[in-house]
Amino acid sequence: MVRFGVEFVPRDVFWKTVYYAVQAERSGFDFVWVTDHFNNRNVYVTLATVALYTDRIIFGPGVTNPFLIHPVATASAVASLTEMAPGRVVCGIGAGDRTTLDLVGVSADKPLAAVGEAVQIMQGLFAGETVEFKGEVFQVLRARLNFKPKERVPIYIGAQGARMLTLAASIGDGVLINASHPRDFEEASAHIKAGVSKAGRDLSALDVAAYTCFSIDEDLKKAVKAAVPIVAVIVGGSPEAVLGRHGIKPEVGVGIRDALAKERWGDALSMVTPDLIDAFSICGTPDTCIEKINEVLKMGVTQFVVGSPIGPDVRKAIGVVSNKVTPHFKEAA
Amino acid sequence: MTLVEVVHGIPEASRESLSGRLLDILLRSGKGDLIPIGLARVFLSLAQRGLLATEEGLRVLLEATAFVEPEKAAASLETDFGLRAASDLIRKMKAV
Repeated sequence: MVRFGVEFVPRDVFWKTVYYAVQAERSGFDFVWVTDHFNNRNVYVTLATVALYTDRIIFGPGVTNPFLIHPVATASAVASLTEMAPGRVVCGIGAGDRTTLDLVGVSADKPLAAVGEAVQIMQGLFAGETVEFKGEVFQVLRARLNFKPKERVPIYIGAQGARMLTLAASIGDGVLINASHPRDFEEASAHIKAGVSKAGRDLSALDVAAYTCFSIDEDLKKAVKAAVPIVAVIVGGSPEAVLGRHGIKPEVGVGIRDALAKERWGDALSMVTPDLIDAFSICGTPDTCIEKINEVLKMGVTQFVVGSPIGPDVRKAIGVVSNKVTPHFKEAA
Repeated sequence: MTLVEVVHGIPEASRESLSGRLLDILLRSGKGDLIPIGLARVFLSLAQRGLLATEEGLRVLLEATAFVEPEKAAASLETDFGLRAASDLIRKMKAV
């Protein structure tokens, strides 16, 4: 049976994000993912508070990156969380958000090597080992946690491109696919199968998560309006190949990217057409969302993550998902 | 009237929808950082146990809204729920 997760961006005062996590748990969600950007509230402060006020839900950073946060620091933070919530902690890691990394002058070179090496380092530390590692990006002379992690923490890799998807499938416990359209999941599925095959693993051992841009409301217009800014950011950051897959010309992406870079939000948002909304979000009324989720699940997805913006009103949207969307899939199972 | 007395007088049938309305006011407010940390912790603890529509939950929600959006809360209490005493008390709490 498919599991449901929800992504929160901790841009508000801590108690709001934690309240939404509590609501998600009480509404039957299985996972809470909290984004990691230096300019928002800190992800581990948020997750530690989520740990204190929830009892069942699984949670973790979704996703951190190895460029701004060294993998030994991530391993320490995540392992510490396992003491607060045994059996409920996961770790999502990816190449990072280029726009945010640029702000602090961090170059995200060799993303594939950086993520792959970070995963190896963290896996060693989670296993209680002393890690000596010499890679392309990271050199760890002798690192060990001075406490025994409660358990081996499942690592999920955020991926969109072919090589990162293959890597995620070959070394991760899960893959968080940054996409919302069945066409992208179909493409991703081929790379995931290649990755598990290369590693001699069973596909069923991998949690394949659709990390979507999602917006739900009984009022279609409101749902769409909430999705527009997120879709603009996604399109502005998408490679030509991804845009091309949906028949979108490269200049559309360039135009939105330029407008965003110059903080001309009105211009960027005005360039978001219904086609872009359809390609890069799951957005609409409950019935529309159910239909679109169904299409995504046919591509082998095992976890569906309701990502930003969730809806024009987050509390209401979580309620609508748990009352009208998830029952559809639980009853079907 | 004290907050405890006001909350005790809220009809059972209104509690769930009042709790939801006060939650919306709190969550939509841009002044969430005005809520004292101790009150935020009690709020989260009650939310975790599903008690925000109980007398204790409503007391905490009313107190929290008085810190961030007293006028909105007072107006809603009076107009949407006919709770004049609660509305007056929220306005008084704001004044304090």
